Amino acid sequence: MNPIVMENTSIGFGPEYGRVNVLQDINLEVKENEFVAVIGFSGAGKSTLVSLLAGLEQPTDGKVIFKDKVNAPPGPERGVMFQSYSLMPWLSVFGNIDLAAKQVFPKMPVAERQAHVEKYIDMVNLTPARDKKPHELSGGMRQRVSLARTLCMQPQMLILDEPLSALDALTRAVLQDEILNIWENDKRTIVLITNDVDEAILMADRIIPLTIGPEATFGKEFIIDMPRPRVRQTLTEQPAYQKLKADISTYMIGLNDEAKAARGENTLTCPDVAPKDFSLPSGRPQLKWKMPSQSA
Amino acid sequence: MADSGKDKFKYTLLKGIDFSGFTVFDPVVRLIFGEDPKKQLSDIGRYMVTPVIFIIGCIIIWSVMAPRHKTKSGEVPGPDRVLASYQNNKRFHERENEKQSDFNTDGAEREATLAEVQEQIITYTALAEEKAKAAALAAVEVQDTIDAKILPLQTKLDSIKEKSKEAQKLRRENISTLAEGVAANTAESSALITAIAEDKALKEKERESTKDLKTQIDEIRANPPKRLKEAQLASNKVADELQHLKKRVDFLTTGNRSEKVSSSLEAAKEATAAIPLASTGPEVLKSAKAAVRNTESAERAKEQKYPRAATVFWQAYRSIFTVIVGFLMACAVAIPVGMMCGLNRVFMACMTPIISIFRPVSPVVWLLIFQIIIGAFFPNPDEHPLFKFFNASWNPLEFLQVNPAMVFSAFTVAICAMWPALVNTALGVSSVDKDHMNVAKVLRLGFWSRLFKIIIPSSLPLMFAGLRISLGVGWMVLIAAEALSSSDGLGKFVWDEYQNGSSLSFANIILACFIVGTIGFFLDRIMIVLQKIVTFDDGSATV
Repeated sequence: MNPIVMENTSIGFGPEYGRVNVLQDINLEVKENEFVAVIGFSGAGKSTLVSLLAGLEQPTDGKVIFKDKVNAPPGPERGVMFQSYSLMPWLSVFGNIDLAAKQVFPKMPVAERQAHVEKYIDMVNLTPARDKKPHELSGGMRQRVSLARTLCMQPQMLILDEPLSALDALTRAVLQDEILNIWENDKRTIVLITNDVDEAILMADRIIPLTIGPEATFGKEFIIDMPRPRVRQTLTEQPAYQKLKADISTYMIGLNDEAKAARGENTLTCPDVAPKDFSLPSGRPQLKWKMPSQSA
Repeated sequence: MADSGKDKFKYTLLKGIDFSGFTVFDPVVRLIFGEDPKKQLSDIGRYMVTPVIFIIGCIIIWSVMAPRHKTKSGEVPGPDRVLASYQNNKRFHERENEKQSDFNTDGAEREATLAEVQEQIITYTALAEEKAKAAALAAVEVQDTIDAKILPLQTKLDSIKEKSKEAQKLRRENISTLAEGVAANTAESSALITAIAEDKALKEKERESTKDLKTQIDEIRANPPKRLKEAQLASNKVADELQHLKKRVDFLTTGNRSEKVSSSLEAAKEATAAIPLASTGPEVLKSAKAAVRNTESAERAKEQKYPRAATVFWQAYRSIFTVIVGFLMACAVAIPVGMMCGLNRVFMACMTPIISIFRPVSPVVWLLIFQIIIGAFFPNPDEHPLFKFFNASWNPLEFLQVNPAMVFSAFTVAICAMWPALVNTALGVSSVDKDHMNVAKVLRLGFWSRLFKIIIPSSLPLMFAGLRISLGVGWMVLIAAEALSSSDGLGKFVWDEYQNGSSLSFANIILACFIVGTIGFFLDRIMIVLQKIVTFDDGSATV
């Protein structure tokens, strides 16, 4: 039994007359403990896809089947890690995670629940910041809190909505490793939504590109069968990696061109202009500072 | 670090200053702890000394400009007069306190206080005599100087008068001879008419010439030298104090509550004792009746309270109490209704017309409506449980003398202060971050935990911003409502002073203006601190 299946799913917004579907005829099957990455351009409908997967939005057509339940409402079995952290600013790190833990395990004794929450805080290396408020944390730390909150619900499936796109490259690399590490130790189904091809190749078992919207749908999928654990430092030197990256990039750029052609856009040639040369002729003494009249 | 404890204290202090919004004192604290004195001194100079100099400048302009504008109720009081008015009001308040405690004391304490007061009376009597003498002396002296000043003017005036009198006499004679001449046809009638007209013009001229001197003399009389006024004021002050001491003696002896009770009981006892001694029926009846009457009056005296006069400070306490009650009533309505508006679009649609129509209504209209509507609930205020509760002798708020007028004012405050809180709460509740709501959905939070764990905390900052505006509006409305409804409070104080029009009234009104402003400032500060507590970002959004 596959944890999540989408069958000819479409979704559109706005009035019925003249409605254009954001996503059209999406078909997806994710296997147990599989790590799937969905990549797409911005505006392709990635966040809408997350909403569908999590059950936050209902499809206008087709079905989203999660564990045999069709179009089920959202719940903690499908943990979502949001792009914008979505932490409660009035709660501390502990409070934010505890809010989720309390809801998912209402019968757990207080001491046990506290230990449970602290385990996840420790897992994302935030124990020193346990009682800090979100506004006192850096972006990377906030996303870690969000990750810990999602993990502490012990969901059957994780949906990661561009979790690292707001972070700088170094922090992103660290968090990618952390997520991978956690996943290796505690396997579960993950759907990662991203716009970063490198990230997708590093982390996923399968990459599914999303075509350009509106009426976006899934394109040709790429299987990544590179052995795990994948080492970031040596990964880029592998020919398999280089080939995959080239293939995916070509495919994505091709999608972009196709979309442009479909919209009937003409390529405009840029006029051949070069900036004028305002530098002083050589041989004259250079002024150290400009006269006010000259600068004006 | 060696002095980490000191540093910790310093940062706690700085945090407190920042939190309460008195950031002006930040460099002072840093200077005391010796942090970069040069920068702190420049900061103090810039942000503390400069404003202080500016304010002093304003006060100087006030004191110069105020006496120049003469009004029907005297000249506009300068800062000195307002300060004097503050001191007067303060002394008045203290005297009321003294008299009240005198009224309530009994036993040895009463005797001790009485002895003390009587001692004071002796010193004050001597002092009063001395001051009265000084004032009389000053009056005589001043009279002399005034006389000396007036004398030359007066002689000049007299001489002018004498001269014009003679000239008038001459002209009158001239006119009468002319008239006779006209009658005897020896003179022209036109000459007579010219003479009469000339006489009138000359009379006017003579009056003009004396007018100037007369006003000069009047001015000298009206503005005696300052030392006379000062001497009189000093004498009056002592006389006033002496009178107050005499009143205290009264409240410590015959006017004292325990004394009243014991004297009544004594009389009752005597009357009871006289019953068996009486020989006739009417005499027995008289004694028995006296016994009953005196026992009753002793009972009444036990319940008596000191009838305090309304001081401006008491009025201020009452105003603060009223505004807090009104504000709490506004919160009690605005927060739940605002939340329902924010949660439910249908309810919002129902409430929108009501909010839009009633929000702009003037507080004066509300006050009148409440007087009629709520007045009907208290046909007999003394018997109503609400007022019985507030005016019971064990209630610490008994001194505020809660009455129906206060209830009307509180309701007016409530209904006028309700709207900003309501609208802001509705806005806060309806604009909860969509991501937070998504988290709530994923967590499958129920309605109540969604409300209490997500919606209310995230709408608190906006809600408190609304409450702060509400309290400000309420305070403004209250002063107007009190003036109109004659509910004791600062508004009524201002209104009474305006109506009574004594020489001090104008200064008292300006004093009330400062008191109202100061209380309003502190109420706002309290709300700012509350707002900062519930604001989860760095709190820079609120100033």
